[in-house]
Amino acid sequence: MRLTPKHKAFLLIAPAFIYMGFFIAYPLSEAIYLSFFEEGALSLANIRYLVGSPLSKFTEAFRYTLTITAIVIPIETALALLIALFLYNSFKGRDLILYMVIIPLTISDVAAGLIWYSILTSNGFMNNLLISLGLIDQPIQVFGSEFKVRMLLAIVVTEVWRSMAIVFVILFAGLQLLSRDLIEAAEVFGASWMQKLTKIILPMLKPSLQSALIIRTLFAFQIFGVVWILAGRNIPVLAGEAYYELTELRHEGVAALYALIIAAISLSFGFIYIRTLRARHLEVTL
Amino acid sequence: MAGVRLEGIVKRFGRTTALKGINLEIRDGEIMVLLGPSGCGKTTTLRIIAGLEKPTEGRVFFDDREVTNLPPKDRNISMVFQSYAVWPHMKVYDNIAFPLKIKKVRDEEIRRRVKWAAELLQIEELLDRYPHQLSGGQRQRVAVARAIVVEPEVLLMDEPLSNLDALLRVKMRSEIKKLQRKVGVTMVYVTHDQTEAMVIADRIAVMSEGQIMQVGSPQEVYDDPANTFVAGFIGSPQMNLIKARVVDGVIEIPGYEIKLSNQPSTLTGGNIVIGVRPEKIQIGDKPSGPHVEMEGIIDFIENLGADYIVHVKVGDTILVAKTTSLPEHVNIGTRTKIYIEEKHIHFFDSKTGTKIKLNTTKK
Repeated sequence: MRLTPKHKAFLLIAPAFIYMGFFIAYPLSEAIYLSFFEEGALSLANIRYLVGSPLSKFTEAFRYTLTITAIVIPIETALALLIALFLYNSFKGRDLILYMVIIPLTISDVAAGLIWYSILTSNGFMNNLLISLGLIDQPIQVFGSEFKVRMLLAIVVTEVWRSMAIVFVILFAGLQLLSRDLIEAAEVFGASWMQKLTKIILPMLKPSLQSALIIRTLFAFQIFGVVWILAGRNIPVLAGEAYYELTELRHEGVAALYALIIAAISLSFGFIYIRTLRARHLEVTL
Repeated sequence: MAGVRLEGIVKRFGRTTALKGINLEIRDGEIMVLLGPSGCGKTTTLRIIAGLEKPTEGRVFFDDREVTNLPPKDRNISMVFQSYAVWPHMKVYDNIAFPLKIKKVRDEEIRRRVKWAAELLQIEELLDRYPHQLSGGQRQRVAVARAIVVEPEVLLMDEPLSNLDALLRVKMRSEIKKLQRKVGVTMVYVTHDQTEAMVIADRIAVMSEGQIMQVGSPQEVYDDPANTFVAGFIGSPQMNLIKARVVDGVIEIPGYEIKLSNQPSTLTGGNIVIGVRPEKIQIGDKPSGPHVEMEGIIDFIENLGADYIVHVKVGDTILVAKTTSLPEHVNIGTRTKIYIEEKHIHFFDSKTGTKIKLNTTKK
């Protein structure tokens, strides 16, 4: 039997389809089933549990996840952008700084959490340093259920340190792609540093900014390891609750519901970014 | 409008010295072309005038105002880049208006000036488009419009035509010259194309390896090249440069001897290089003035339609001649007489390459 072009086309995209079906469509449908069905019938029990049960920390987890995301992403984006701009021109020692900024990229979130835990804990590096400098007498307590703001701060610091690297890499690469002439032209025509940044560099960097923001936002809603190490359930987050519900309370349906909620949030943010940061005129020339 | 003066400009990048002491005076309102092969330092010189590079040594003046350490934005210059550097995220109108907006010109004035520049460059109907919707030639016009809209003191052009196709390049080079005449701005124009330089320039500065070899009008550098580099770089086909020896008033080239009717007294014995432009070698017709007569064999003929490039073997040396017509009998392999007027023979020192000044005739 001879293959028609149409059959060939289907054959060629089949691996992608099988992959998507097996790793995305199937788990997704399973998650939906687990969340909304009980013994074969439609049921809203899991939703009722999520918002109503004293065991559930959904509202808190939702609030904390959003808060951490809303604080971490602007800080790390601004920081990554500044460092990328700073490293745009070559100078002595640039490569060293480059490596230092990128190193966290290679460290897992749990390891990052442990590193910062050992720095910030009461007999850790930070307190030892401050005491030996004579700045404080008593160690500063960061961890413990009564220090929620401090723990939140520690999480933000760790997350920014850990995940800024990926934002930096994307922005730095994007910046390198911009033709130097385009920036020098702005200089020649009288633009100040700030005008160069806001009128020329940032608009042309939009595609990179968009990629960085999408990737980071999606991952930010999955934040788990760092929080689990530094604060446990004192600072509940969505992915942490999914884990807890599944492993400790054996609420498979609730855990699946959490997963769906995270997916839904990520999807809507991705959609917003793509709509608002669309950079239509940058495709051809550069 | 302003004149530009470079005094003792040296520029080093790490261990390499890109400019080895440039002194150049660019007059108010003229077109100065910096001409040279790639790597000669012409673009670096331009960038130093722009303020995009700081010289390691030396000073830059606009009229009597020293600008050596001023950033580009405080110099009142504008520039057309080789890549055009038209911002892809702005419409043509906004590209042209950008320098004015930065200078906080009133909106009404901006509209008037953009319209003026767009009309001058014939791009009025493109104002509403984005750069990716334009052809290379159109983008180039946008870049030029943006550069003249601010009425700069000095307009810098960095090989603005090198990315255009050959036809458009020929058209644009005369247009740029006309435009400069209309606007009257001082212009510094960088190119490696000697024809472009000849057409556009009021004066040419020929550069090589970080130094200026010669400054002069196109006619001056063509008629009276200061050294073998300029002689070889200006003119197409290249000037014939032949190693020779002077012995007892006779000039020996490999396999042939040339006798001059009146031997210049500065031409004592020793090794020299003689230079003759292809278009100054006549085949068949005897010139009336003092001339040299040589006999050779036609080695090759390139027919360019309007011209012939004829390779003539004289002794062991091949001379290239350019002529508009060939005598009928002449063909590859024929023996022929060629004539060169003595005033068109250049003599250069074989070691330094500099021109040997002659005391007998001046033109």
